[in-house]
Amino acid sequence: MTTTQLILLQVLNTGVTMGILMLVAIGLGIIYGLMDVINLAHGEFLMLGAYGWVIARLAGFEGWAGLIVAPVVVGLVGFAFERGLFRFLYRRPLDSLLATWGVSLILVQAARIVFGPAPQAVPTPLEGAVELFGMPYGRYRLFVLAVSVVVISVTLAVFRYPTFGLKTRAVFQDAEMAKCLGIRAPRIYSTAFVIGAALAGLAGALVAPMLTVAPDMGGNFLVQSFLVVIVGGAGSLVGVVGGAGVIGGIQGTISYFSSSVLAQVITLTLAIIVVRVRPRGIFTRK
Amino acid sequence: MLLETVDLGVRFGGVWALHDFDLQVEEGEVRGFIGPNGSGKTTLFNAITGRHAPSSGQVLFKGRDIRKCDPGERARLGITLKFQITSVFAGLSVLDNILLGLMGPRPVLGELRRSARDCGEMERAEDLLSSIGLWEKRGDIAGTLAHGEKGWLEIGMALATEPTLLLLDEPASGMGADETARTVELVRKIRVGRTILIIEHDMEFVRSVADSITVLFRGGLLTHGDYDTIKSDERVIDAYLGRGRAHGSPGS
Amino acid sequence: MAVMRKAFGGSSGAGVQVLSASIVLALLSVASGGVARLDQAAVWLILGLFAMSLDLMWGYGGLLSFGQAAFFGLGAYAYTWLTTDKLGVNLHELGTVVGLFAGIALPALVALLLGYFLFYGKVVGAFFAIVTMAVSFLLQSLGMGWSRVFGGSMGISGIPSVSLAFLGIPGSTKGVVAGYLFATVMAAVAAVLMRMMLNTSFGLSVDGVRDNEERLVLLGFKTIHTKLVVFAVASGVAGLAGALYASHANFVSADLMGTLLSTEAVVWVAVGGRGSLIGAFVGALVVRAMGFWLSDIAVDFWLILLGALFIAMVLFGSGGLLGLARSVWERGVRLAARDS
Repeated sequence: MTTTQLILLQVLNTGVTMGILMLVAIGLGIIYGLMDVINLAHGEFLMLGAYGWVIARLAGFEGWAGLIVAPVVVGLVGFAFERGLFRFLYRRPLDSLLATWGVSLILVQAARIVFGPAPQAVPTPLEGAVELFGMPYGRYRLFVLAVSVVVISVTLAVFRYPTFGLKTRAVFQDAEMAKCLGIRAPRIYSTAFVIGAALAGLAGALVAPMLTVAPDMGGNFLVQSFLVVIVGGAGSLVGVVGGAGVIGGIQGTISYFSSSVLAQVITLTLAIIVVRVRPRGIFTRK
Repeated sequence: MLLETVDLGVRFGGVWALHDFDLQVEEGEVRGFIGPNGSGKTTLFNAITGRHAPSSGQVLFKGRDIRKCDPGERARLGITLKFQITSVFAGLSVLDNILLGLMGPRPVLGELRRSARDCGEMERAEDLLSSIGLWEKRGDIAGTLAHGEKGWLEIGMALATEPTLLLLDEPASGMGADETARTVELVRKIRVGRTILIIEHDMEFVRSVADSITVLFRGGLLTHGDYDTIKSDERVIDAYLGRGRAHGSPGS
Repeated sequence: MAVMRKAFGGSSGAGVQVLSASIVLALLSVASGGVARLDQAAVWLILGLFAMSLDLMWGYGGLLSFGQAAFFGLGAYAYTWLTTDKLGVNLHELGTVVGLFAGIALPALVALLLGYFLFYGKVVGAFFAIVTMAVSFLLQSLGMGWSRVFGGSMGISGIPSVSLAFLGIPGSTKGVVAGYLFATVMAAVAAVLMRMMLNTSFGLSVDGVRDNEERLVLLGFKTIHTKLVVFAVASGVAGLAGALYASHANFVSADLMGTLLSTEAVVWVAVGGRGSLIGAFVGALVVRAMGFWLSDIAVDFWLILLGALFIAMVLFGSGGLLGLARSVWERGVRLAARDS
């Protein structure tokens, strides 16, 4: 393989990492930005999404069904939690941390009981590789890259769409004011929460065939999303997407030359330095 | 000159909450600030105490430019504030509130060697508590005090830091006639050897304590003078009654 | 001297409380499982000390850390590195004493460094919690991956217990009873020292930071320094608990730095009632004992119960066990007064 091809391979792989991280972090970022709730169970939404394949198989669906099942099921779970618990926690960041961590522990343990503690492999729905610039590249990875780009673009568009996007941004800016303007904040919250959960579920379903699926797989993605929010700033979707780009890019690049754990430690160090230099994130204007 | 602002401006987004503001305060003065809501009084106080960074101009304290100092540094220079919305240590006792004011600017590690109740400050705490009329309530939790008492406690705390310049943002707001009278008395008592800036809507209050009055309007200086001059100034009346469009621009 | 005596006089209560709790635990343990059960109970005492360190942060300083175990684990590793061949600096028996001090110093220094960035970056509240959680999580991952230093997934075993044999004083804290006594004494001494610190005027400024930091800044306080000292001291105490754990269990692993232990400590403090050192201490003993008892019955449901405890503490307020006991007591007193 030539150097150019190696670099290209690396760029594609980093793109996949970035795409997944954006899908996960958008949900965490929206929920924090809108409602001051840091959802520590967000990683478990991803985990449930990854088990979407397993659920689909148990239900007798083969092939691609898992990819559809995951965001739907996780979206519904998110809706149930939003109505049953999270809505009582809006604007109470510390309480929300404690309660959502409780939910996280319960979901992990429930998954252990239902699916067993051992990591499971999920078969790739898209076998083989395609020839790309004279080198083979996994079809499924390309598919993940494409899906991420499309879904993130659509999400960004939805949040910019005149009615929903404007209302959301109004609530982002000033919830009290938005209420006075007749925007029904609870409905915005609910919708945003379900979108965030469904995206995490989709991300879980997308990564499952590239990793193994395990009940405690969410923790790593949760911490990565923290780093995204810290580095990018939680004030806007652009911040989250930008932060995910930076974190995903650094991780992808460093883990190519060294171990992924070292990449994470370096990213954390970077995030802590960013906090000191730009407390509100790189992508948020002061 | 104790305090001086030169061309001071504070901008929020596209709006100048305060602009081209020149202010001179002599040592020992008690100065009242009035103006309609949104005229920039609290913004001016925030720019002096360092809670807002000025977007333009200078703040000079004893001739030194303190623009770059954060609120803590300014407090250590001797500038302290009583907030508009009373802010005390609601979970601590009245005495502890005062003790915190007394121990202010000492380095952290020195504090580790002394007991809070046994640091030779009790006498001063006693004096302060008597002067704000809360000696009897020294053991009460500050959050349980009446509204007026909280305000006096906050003034007492500010006094404990021995400020050169004390800013009081609406010290009598929400107070009844009786409490207001006691607050007037308190301000008169503590003005000895101090410079005090007061924002207050109650004109009678301002008349009773302030040597002179500065009127703000739409983020600028409208006029300055003693109570009688201000009272008979057409522009001031217009500003309050909302007829002041012709005179509204600052410096006019 | 008078000041010292006065401060100590007001602080010894914390030691007495810890001693009493430890005696009750010892009696219950021996009654339920014989002297051997003390081996397990000593671990709970050490975790009780760890819980007090978190209470110092959260209950007194108002800084909720979701990563306190990072410092517990670093303390445990500092002790381990000085008493085993892992890093080639094995000090043997001398190391068991030096290791205790290193177990305090290393986490305290790391906390100072981390705190410098976070506090000057104005990180507070929930953001502080998630940054500390990330630190704990990534230290655990690092420990898992870097086996040459941290022992990887196998951990490090064969760690010696604290011993004064190098001074010619016989005996060590290895035995079941000696281990329990040693843990009790260390927890009590640490509790008294923390109480002494909180009784100084520095302690008053810690109350002020928790209650109304902005007001304190405008009184001229350098609150960042106050928070740095609290963070460093709390991390040092957590590290001491970690070093004691390594000495007692003779085994360490990366989990000691991880998020599960970090957050379990939050439950202990919340259950015991934050803002009272003994409450946090007893909270750890009660929750751990409950977990020990429950895991006999249904190991699968322990984590679910722990999760439910997290949700419950949000729904039912912050007084904890101590608050509950107090309100029941007051109610009883009132009823008794009415009857008489």
